[in-house]
Amino acid sequence: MLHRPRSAVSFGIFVAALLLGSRAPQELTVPLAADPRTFCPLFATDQASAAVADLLHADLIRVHRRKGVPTANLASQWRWSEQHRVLEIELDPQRRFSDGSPISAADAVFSLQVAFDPELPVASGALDLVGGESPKVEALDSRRLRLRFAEARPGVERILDSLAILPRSRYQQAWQRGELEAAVGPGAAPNQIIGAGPFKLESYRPGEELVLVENRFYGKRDPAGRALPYLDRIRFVVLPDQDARLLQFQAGGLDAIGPLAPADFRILANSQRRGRTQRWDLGPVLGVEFLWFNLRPATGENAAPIDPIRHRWFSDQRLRLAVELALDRQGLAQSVYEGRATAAAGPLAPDNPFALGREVAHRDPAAAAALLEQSGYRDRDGDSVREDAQGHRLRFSLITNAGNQARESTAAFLQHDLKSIGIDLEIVPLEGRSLLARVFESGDYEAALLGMAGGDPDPTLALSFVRSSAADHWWAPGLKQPGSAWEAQLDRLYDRQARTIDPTARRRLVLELQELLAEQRPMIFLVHRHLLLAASRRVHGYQPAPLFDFSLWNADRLWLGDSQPGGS
Amino acid sequence: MRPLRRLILAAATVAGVLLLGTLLEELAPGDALTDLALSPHLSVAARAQLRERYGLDQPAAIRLGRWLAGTLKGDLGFSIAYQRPVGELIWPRWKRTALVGALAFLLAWGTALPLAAAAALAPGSFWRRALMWLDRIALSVPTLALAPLVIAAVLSLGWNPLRAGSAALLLSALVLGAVEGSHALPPLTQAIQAGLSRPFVRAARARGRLWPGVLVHALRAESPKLSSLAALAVAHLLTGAVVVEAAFGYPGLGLLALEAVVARDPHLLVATLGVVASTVVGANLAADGAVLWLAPPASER
Repeated sequence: MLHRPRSAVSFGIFVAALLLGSRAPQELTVPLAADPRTFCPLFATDQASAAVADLLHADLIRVHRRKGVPTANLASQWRWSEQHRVLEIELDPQRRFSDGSPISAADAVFSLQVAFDPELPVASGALDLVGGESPKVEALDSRRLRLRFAEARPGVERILDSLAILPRSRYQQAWQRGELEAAVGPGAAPNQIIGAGPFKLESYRPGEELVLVENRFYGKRDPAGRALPYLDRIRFVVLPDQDARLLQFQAGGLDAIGPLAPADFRILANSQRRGRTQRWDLGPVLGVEFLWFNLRPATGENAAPIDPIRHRWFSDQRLRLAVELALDRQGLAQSVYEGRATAAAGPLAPDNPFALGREVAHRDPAAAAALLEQSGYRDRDGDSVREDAQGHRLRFSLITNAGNQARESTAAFLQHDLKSIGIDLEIVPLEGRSLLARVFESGDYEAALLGMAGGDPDPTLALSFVRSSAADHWWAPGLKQPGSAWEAQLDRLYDRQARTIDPTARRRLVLELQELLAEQRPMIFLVHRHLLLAASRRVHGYQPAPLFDFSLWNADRLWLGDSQPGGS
Repeated sequence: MRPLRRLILAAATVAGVLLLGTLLEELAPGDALTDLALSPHLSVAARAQLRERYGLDQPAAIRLGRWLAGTLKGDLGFSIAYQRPVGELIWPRWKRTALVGALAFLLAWGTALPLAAAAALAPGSFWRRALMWLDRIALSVPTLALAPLVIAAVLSLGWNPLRAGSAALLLSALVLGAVEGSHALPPLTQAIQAGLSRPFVRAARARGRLWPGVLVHALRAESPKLSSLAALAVAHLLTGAVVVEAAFGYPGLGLLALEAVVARDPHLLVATLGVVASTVVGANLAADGAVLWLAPPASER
């Protein structure tokens, strides 16, 4: 009893000390459009998984999200030898896994074995980049490892991006039992997810939220010697609805949001004027929108189950060119995308050093009509729709995503432009999976409108769809052999550029490939969408980047409020 | 025999819902792994292996059979979208929806019952006609429109209703309750009026019993009908939950069902349908039990 007043005073002093010594928790809140399917970048096939997994794990070499060049991550340095076939990597001794264990060359060798395991659904494209043959990986000592590739290929360092280095002691048995994906997936206990990223998983409530806390063993420091990351926590709120995300951001419940639709970007201009948020238009890097015709072979394994008359039309290069000439890409970019898109001359974003760099062709309905006339498509009955030589009306359907406002508007825009040259386009919006099933499985469609997300700008990855054997060879996926001479030439050009180390010679090949693609027009590229992002002004160090993850790629250097980063 | 027949009918209803759900899922093109088409670097072997792992290479009948066999052992299957057992996902969501549903029910019936009683006591009056007109207007506002209106109103007050835990819960309950209340008002009024016109209730009124006592008699007399209406309300609330939870981002069973449909997650979809159907059927069975208990068949009296 006698000690009670003293105890109370001590407690008061303790609390006061705590309050004075503490700082406001640095908690960033950002949205997730879906629940992650994995916490490991190796298996991430969707953006939600990749966004979270990239913060939990680290790779040896990382493509810089703003500069686009390979930079050191867990590797402190690397060196090529034997004419670009052998890569030696030295590990950064400061870095550790989130459980405090050191990162050794044995962990890196194990992780690369996992990444190149053909049995596992690894989504990175690493094997594609090295021509389908895994490199031989060996540890030279506890901090150095060597990768020996079967042949020299350009930009191979890039394949190490997102190949997460995992602790061997924790995951080797799971890998051997064929249970690695479950061990690094959302079903595992949060404290069992161990990586070398700036954050570690604290909790996950499916459909609600996911909380990451700083990895105290991260080992990176800023130039002033302060430990990274600055943030204490990142809270991901699962918000599948785009409008809900926007409302939350406007109400101050989210610190960053994007990529945004042009209309949402416009809506946020008001809050920017009030000084609460900042917006960024990073230009035409988000991805390219395009339409294509079903050019699957008429017979055989991957045959198109469509009307043979329409199949014959689509195989006519002049018809494809006429469609291209009839389209007003600039008008599309202005009206559907509110100016937040750039007319596309080809598949690569205009600022990609491998892009064609030519002017986008202007709309020329007269030239389009002349081409159709030459091919025998004439309006024989005066109803403003042309007929082919056999009298069939020039009418076909275009499938696109139902509920995707921009695509539905684009389809209507195309319908209007094609009507002006006597083509009757029927728009068929389909639910996402039904659409993909028709394009990639049944082949039961005539023409389609979709988009490709912008990824790694290296042409071996960005143009991999031109290979006739590719799963995403849009106009005729997964062919055993090319369907025509020009498709065989596309295959050859792609393979040659993927093996050419000399940058000038490689660029020439990539340009030739794109010229051939433009000449044949199996795909008609429409616009490059702009990457639109917004963030609260309380977020400091925010440097949006053109490569995924656009917002959180430098999450270890973000901080909140007006205090100094990492300060108290 | 009658309760047994009801139980068999209930089980058949749930089985029918499961079969229909599986059939519709099967008829729609694509499946849970179709979006892997957009991951072009995934090898053909890896794709085939994934399909095999999740049983998507099997015919729908076999998949449903396996799922039913697992369910009988207490295993609701595995969610491809969430990468975890379905049971772990469903029960927390069911509890949340049950909480919203219970609050909405209390709100709906807590408001509709007194209004219905007042309307039943004043047949032909102006205010009863006005109330019924108002109710018709309320009935014509779809939940799909009401939820965004409430969000806009709340946002204009400077609050953030979305995902804010209790706020999303209360607003979801408010919208669901308002819709259910407008649905319940006309049949409740009719039921109470029917109760009031029963001879013994009229006799009680004639003997000068006070209105509260008379109303209790009338409600008791109509309790079987009220039980059925309550069971119907459970079905309404569960179906309405899909819209309201999606609008407010409230993570309940309705939102989970929507996500399962969008992701084409077969086990999650069938299990969610099964749980929703079982809840509706369970509420109907409870209502039947209540009817039997409150008004046993004439032969047992």
